[in-house]
Amino acid sequence: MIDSSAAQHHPISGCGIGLRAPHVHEIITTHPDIPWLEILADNYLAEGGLILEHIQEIAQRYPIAMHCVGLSIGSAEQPDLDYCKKLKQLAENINACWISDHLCFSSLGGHYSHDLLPFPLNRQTLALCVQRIDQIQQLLGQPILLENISSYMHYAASSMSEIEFICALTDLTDCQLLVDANNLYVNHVNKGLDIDEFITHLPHHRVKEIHLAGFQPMVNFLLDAHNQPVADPVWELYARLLNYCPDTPTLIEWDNDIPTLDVLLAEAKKADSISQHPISDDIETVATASA
Amino acid sequence: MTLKQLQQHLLEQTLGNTLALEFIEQLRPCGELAPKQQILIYQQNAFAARQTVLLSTYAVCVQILGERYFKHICKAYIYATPSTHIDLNLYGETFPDYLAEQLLRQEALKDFPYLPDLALLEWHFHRLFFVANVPEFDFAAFAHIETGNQHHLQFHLAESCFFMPSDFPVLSLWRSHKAANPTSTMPAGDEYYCIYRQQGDMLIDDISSDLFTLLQGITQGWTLGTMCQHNLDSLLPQLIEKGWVSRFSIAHV
Repeated sequence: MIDSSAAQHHPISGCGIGLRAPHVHEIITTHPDIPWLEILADNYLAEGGLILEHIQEIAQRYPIAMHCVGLSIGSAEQPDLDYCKKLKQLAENINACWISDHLCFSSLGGHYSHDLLPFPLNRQTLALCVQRIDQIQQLLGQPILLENISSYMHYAASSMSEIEFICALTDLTDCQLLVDANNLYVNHVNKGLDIDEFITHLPHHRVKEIHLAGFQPMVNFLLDAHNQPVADPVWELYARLLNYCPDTPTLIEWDNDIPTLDVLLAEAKKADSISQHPISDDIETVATASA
Repeated sequence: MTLKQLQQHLLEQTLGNTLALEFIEQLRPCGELAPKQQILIYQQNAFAARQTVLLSTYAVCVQILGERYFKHICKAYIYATPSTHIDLNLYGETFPDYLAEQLLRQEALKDFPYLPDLALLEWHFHRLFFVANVPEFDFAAFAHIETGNQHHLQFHLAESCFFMPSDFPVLSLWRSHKAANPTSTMPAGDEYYCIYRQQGDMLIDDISSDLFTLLQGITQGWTLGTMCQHNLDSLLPQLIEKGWVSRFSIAHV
């Protein structure tokens, strides 16, 4: 197990945005006021190239967190050591605040889904994830942040709730958490996830980052599409989360139908405003209100 | 079913367009989502991700064929071609070959014989953006090569350049579409291009047949002596100046 207290602490705060290709030039040339940025690290693992030059330039001015989809924590296969080495190298090059990934698997047998695939939550997969996370944290030399995913699948083999699994996993590995408020809401609507139970049982001291994004309503479910503004019930959920995890660095994620930078910055400003004026938790909960 | 088998099933179905009963039996209803729909959501997500990358990488091919027809053409490719690279940006390397096969099979494509070459040009223009920087040519070491070794010098092309021939003026076509001034005239003729990155800029040069022959020779291991025999050694400084040749070595005699 890695000692999280030994990890380097980076003073980031406020609401940042996910750095996406259409905004790179504008950020490099106009230096907008953004407290921090998050990159999808998988897109920056080349040994060189323009994309790496751009991120190194941006890293000189902004704190950067690394978000990944390739650690494949829940995969039945061993972690990709080469991938971990590249992540570590990139983190050193840009002095990354931290590295995060998802509670999912994304690849197997050399094929990549480029999506966050769920696995059954039970004692067997818990033991596997503990082993993987220990190994990955040792390789990276730092604790990772794990994010809750939106899942559209229910396995017969699941015997633990998501929050039970997360609590056990963080206890056993000392990893940290990235809570995605949109994913919580999407899972609440699609799968009946108990938001009250999730938020109250969450190991709050381990929550180092919150994600906010937009979902797309489909015929009979919500799709975690990251292509819209953050929806009102997710803002409400965010405000509620902040009661338990105040001042947690927050990020606006927008990956599809990407708007102009000013739209993203307005969303970030809204998050900052909510963070500075927290609501009381004795109001009716989002879960109850949306039921 | 073991965890690995379960994950293999899900990944295969996510990347393809089939549903396996064996896997469906491992699922329970999820809210209003029946097991089949649960899998379909992942299939659609994975398909959309790969289609988006192809639409972006092969943007001029999309302009020429129209988005609707391009999507129709790439559908079978996406289902048959799982991603084997962790970076989704690098998906679609074999798409130009696929287009060449489709030219022989699809009547609707007979008016677009240049499409595979155009796609190849677009792929390498896209790919080279991500390739590592090239170290500068070591002129100091080059100046100290002993006279007796000069004829055995071999040169090596930079990873940040790619050269290709075409029977069609696809570079003009690509440029006109990039400039939002599409041309429809396509006179046939021998064309040679070098796609490369130089000081932060992505560039494509129309090159002479002699230069193309020299570049081919270099990849085949020609020595400086062989270049002299072909009277092409005088072109070498150009290649070094452009950064297309990044280093040299001395061939074992």
